[in-house]
Amino acid sequence: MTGKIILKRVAFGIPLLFVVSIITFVLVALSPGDAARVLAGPDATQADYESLRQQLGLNDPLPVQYWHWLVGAMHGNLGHSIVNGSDVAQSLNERLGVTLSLVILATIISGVIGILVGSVSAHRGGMLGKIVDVGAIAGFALPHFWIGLILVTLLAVQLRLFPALGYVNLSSSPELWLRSVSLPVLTLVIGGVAGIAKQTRDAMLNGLGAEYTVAHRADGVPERSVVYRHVLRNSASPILAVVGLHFVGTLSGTVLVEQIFGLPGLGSLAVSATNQHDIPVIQGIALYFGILVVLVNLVLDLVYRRLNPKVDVS
Amino acid sequence: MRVSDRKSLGSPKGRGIAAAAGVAALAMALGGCSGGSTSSTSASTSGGTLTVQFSGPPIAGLDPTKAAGGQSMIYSTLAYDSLTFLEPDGTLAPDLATSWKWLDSTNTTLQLTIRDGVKFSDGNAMTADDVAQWLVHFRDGKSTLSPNLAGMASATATDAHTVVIKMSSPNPDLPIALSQEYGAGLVANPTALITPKSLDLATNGTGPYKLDPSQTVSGDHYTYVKNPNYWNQSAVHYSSVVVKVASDANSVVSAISAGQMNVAVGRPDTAKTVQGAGATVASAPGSVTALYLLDRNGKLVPALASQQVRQAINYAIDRTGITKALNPAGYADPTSQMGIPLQNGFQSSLDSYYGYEVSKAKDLLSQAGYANGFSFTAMCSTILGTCPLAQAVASSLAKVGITMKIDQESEISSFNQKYATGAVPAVFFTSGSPAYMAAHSLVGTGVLANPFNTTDPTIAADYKKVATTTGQQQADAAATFQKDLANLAWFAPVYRRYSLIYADGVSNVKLQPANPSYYSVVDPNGTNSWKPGS
Repeated sequence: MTGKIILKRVAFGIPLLFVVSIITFVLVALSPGDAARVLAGPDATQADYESLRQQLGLNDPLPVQYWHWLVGAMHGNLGHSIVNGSDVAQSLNERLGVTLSLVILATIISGVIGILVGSVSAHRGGMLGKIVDVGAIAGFALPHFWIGLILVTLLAVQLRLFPALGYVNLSSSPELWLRSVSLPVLTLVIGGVAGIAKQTRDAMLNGLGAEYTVAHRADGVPERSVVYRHVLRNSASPILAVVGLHFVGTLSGTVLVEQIFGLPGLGSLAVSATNQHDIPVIQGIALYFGILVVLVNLVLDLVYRRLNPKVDVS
Repeated sequence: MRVSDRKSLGSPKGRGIAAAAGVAALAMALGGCSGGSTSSTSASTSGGTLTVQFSGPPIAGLDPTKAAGGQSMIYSTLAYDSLTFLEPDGTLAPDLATSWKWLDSTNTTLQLTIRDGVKFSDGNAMTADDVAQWLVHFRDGKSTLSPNLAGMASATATDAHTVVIKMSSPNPDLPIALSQEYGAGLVANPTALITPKSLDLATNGTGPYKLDPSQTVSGDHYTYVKNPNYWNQSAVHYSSVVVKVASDANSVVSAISAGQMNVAVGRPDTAKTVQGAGATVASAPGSVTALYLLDRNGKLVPALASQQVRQAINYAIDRTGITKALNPAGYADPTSQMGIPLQNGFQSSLDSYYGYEVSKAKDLLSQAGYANGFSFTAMCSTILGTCPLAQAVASSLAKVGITMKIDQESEISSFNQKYATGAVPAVFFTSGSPAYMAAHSLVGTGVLANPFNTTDPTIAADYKKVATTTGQQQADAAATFQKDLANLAWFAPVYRRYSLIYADGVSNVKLQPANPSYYSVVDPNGTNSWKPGS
């Protein structure tokens, strides 16, 4: 059964990736300027510029350019950067670990803290509930770059607890890796934890008011068990949905955060490749992000099924 | 990209948390095992690692033929020595060429004597023939800096130690074009030139360092290790140099303040903070930012064909006020000349050639038949940061009845496209090269800053003199050129901005007016090499 779900999801994911790649390609082609202008520099003559366009294959009709990319991609070859010649798949793989470190750590930490705070505030209510409400609004309102700057100034420059920028690979030093991702992850967590807490609290409040809760209480089930065994489990679906959304949101959040903290991830590459009209690199990044989103959806579907086999996710 | 909608809930079974934890563990493993390498975080000690910032990656790869100029030359100069070396004080010192001289009196044939015993990082010896081959290759590459050698007719090795360069037209700045800042002399190994793209991600030059690809993440940081074959080891003070890409100005301040970075390109608005954190700030006046009045033929805007109108624009701009308002941290001088201190023939008296005189501007406009003003469009670039200046100039011009509409371009290649093809009558841009190069790029035909190919007999005569003289004669010619250019009012200069460099834990980092773009770790002659210290 699970195998069938996975197959179905993957079958649905392939056309999705196809559409994403077409849209990205067309958008890049429509935006003004091109890689030949970037490479030729401002002083190039029109003739130099034209011959460079020819050389880079930019004069081919759009569908032909896309077809070349697609044929390569089908064979697992994402091509080379037209601007600096690097192998796209290789440079994306080098950077994937950085982005995943940020997104996964940030999602887990926001998830754990958010669910914890949300449940406690639903259960105990009062002041904590209000703090979660205000915190959720503030968390949404504060831009990542501002939070990042405050954290750097305080924790990296003043207290020197963490590096201000740069990334250390997990395999070369787990401790330095953790220090290098701490501030960026914290930046992403602050933006997301309050949202998850609020969703958890709302779902739990629904559960606490439901008939089954009244029945449990009437049966003399201990309050702690009512709240954390039954209500929390019943509220899991909307909470998981918001954690999934948070994961995807964090993925786009990394674009800015990687820039601020000078991390060699996919997000910072997306920014530079877009500035340079480096189509193969942009296509590769869109593909990787697309695959990540499809995978996250698949995982969430499987988790849903675990929680409730009656849920029809197909 | 969004998570697809889910169907409704029911009573869960309870292994959800375990499943989530499993996913997390898998993802953590994924995150850990992919590539990327350690970037240096420690401050330098003698013989240690020097961490230098630059705002972007080498745009077109590491190939020195595709270098983009300015401080981005740091990527090339670490691994490639150049034929001549431009010192911070603007003097030209020997490097791969031990001496050079003009063989004629019109600056068209230059003879170089090539240094003996120089080896490429792969151990092969560099020959005079290699140098000649490189020069031709550089000229033919379609890159940002290749126009610096555009007029070269030939380069030939006449014997084992001599290369003769013949230009099709006079170019007194040719020895400067061969320096580390203008790129034409950054000789690469000819064996690497045979394989296209082999120099994009690796280096093969005669410089003090070579790239270590295993400690490099393209676009993030580039690690250079000592080249054991370098010809002058005594000029090298660090065992390795990391060039770290950091584009965010605040990140740069944090990294310098936290001692994570040793040298960085500075900005006026962050200089004070960095100084407060104990780092040193070196500065020198750099290029001039101006409103380029391109349509002097009056093709798009007939009014701009009138010299009186262009002078009126110059008189109408409140340079002192605008300079102060847009540069609250200082590091900018108001000016009404296109000349800059690094140039032979620079004269500070021209800074106030046009005062802020609204009534004079109005008089000139009515004499030209535009008493009721006129309207034109000027393009600015958000990437080059010239749009606030455009706003300020527009409000200055409004006071004399001129309506300047602003075409704000946020994309650099499209900016260049519109600029080069004469799609706009005026543009905000900067100029900052040595005397002849600047003169050529400002008033030559077929150049970016002259898309309508305007000519003027006085300017043409001045230009010819600048091109065919040297020394004091050239200084005089350049001075006349600048004065005539100001009078002709093809440009409305506003201010000269300063170049800044931040340094922490490094001594000998300096900038002087004669060479504000200096950003070289190693001076092949030893005197100006950056070294540990403070």
